[in-house]
Amino acid sequence: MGRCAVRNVIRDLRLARGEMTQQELADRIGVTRQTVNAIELGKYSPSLEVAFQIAEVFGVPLERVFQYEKARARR
Amino acid sequence: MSFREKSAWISLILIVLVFGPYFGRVALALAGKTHVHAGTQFALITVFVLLEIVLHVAVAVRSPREARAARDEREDLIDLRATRTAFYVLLAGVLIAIFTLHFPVNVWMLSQFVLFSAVVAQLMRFSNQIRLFRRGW
Repeated sequence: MGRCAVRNVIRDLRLARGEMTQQELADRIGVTRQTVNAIELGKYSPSLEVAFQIAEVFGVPLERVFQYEKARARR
Repeated sequence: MSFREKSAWISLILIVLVFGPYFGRVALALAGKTHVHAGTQFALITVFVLLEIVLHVAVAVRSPREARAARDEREDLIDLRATRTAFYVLLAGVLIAIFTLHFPVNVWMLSQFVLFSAVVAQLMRFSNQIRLFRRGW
């Protein structure tokens, strides 16, 4: 499975929000810290529901958090 | 390491430690070198279940918050994917068990084979879970 075609800036957003930890984000969206880590590293693409929850936590639109990379997806 | 991953490790190690030596003995019994009592299988399954409970409780006591939390979507997907692989292993075992009925096998041998299929299927399930947890997905 490896890296997915969906890139994200969750780490940047966390750090910009007063160094929010992965555990804090995980608690707010109802997943484990390991799942947040897998999403951040691009190893796991979250469901739409979780993606929207993440965007809501940071108060930004979904497309600001996640970007779809066409070139990667075609491989 | 998450509670689900610890749980998968516990089950995998227990399967190897409890059923590994047992099936070694069964293999020797099939070769006529030793004898395995009919009740051993039931006793072993009971010991396995009790050890699973004790070790899972011990881990849960150490991290109660994680243990109480519901599975998240990634953990659900990992479990589904690992269980799918195990299903095919178990299905193959069942089909082979049915096939062996056409040969001179007794109930004891058949029960050993069915248990062996279930154990291998569980081994596949937990090892796949651990692999997916380690990799992220």
